[in-house]
Amino acid sequence: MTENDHNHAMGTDGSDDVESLLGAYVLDALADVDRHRVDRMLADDPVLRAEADRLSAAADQLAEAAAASGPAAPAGLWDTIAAQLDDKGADSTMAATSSVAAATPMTTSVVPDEDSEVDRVDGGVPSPDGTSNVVSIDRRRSRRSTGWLVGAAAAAVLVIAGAVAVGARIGEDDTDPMVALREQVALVASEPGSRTAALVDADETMAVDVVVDTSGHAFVMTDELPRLSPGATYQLWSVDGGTPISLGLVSTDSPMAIVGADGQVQRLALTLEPAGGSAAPTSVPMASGILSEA
Amino acid sequence: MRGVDPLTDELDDARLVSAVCRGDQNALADIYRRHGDGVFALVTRVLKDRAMAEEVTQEVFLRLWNEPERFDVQRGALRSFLLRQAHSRAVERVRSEEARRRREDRVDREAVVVGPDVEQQALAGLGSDAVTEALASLSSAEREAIVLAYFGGHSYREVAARLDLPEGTVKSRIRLGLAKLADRLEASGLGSQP
Repeated sequence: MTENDHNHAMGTDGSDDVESLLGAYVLDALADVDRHRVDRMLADDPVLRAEADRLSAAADQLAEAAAASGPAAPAGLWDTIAAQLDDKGADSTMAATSSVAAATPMTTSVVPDEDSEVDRVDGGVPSPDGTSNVVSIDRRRSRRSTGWLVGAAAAAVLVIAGAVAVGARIGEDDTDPMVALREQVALVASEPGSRTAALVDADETMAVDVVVDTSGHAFVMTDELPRLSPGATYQLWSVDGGTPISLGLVSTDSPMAIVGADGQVQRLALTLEPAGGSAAPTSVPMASGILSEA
Repeated sequence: MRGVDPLTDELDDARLVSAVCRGDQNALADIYRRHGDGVFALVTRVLKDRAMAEEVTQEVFLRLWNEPERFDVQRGALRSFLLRQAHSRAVERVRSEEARRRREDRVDREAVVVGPDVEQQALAGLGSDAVTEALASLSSAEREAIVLAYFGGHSYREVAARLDLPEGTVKSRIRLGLAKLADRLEASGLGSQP
């Protein structure tokens, strides 16, 4: 392992550190931050990957042994699942039913139109009869991006984010401003009650770090996201219930976006949307994750 | 129900997932018929609470419906994929419940009686002699760490805190125990996927 690899592992003892985590990794016994670190190392190291696969096979046997033991799922559970399946096909008898009880009625009405086609079929194949596949979702709240900030930590983060965006240097020792920004965000993350998530994509090659403080701010680091053309934006959703709730738009124009997220939000998903955002996700999430306390 | 031939089962499952990608709800129903009980049983063993187990089971199948492309047939059988998902979701639920309890100041750390009883409960009636034997071949320290982590849904740090042990010790017990399990299971023919 080279010096760079040691640094990349971010552990004090480099790859040894990750190797020692493999057992816990395979048993889902790591915190998100550690799990993500191992994911990254495994992607680059086939020897480590082979060891992880071997241990994984043992964990799979534990799972199968438990699965084979019963109890059987209760009767009627399938019906509950079926009622929550949104309509991917032309069959309109299984329309989406929201299992989320919204606390407040939505402030923006949902107007189905050509552009709000929700198409979850892999590869963007249109529905069999060629009609657009509009999902009518009754209750949704959309949150405006937070226009105000309170708290010294949040304010510090904003200042640095602004400085990074204009390429300014922070401090007297020419610290990389991105590093300074992440350090400030890490301070917010270390406050009691703050929660973090690493939103990862399906291949787990990209991670978008999100920190939610106790004042309802969600700081979304954008540096790993592909830059977008002006006609597109990212949008962050809470997906705790059956219906995604928009938390706000995430732009790659600055290294960090700030949206709103309260203490109830746990499960996050990031989608690619047309500029201005959408009332409901128009594509499968490109990254998702769960907030948890450090 | 599942066929006798595992290879046929896997091919059928792969076809069913393709159908789910095309929006076929009956295909998801078939997948649920095959694997719903297994998912529920695993999740119940981790969560111990039937209502939560039902919710997490729903989540697993809803996720499959909404993101079927996450299943890669090259990487293994659908059942393994579903059970891994089930375990991950169950562990997330354990952690979020604990976080909620801490926030509500109900319990700082559960008074866990760590010993043969907890372990026995976690391992009771496991549906595989090979696995039961392999677990019995571990040292009690290794078995305890693995059971608390895997069936308790605890991170290794939490396991270390509960057992009042250094984190490094728990990490290696888990890793060495799992490596031994892998050896034993491979020897008894339940090894890695080809």
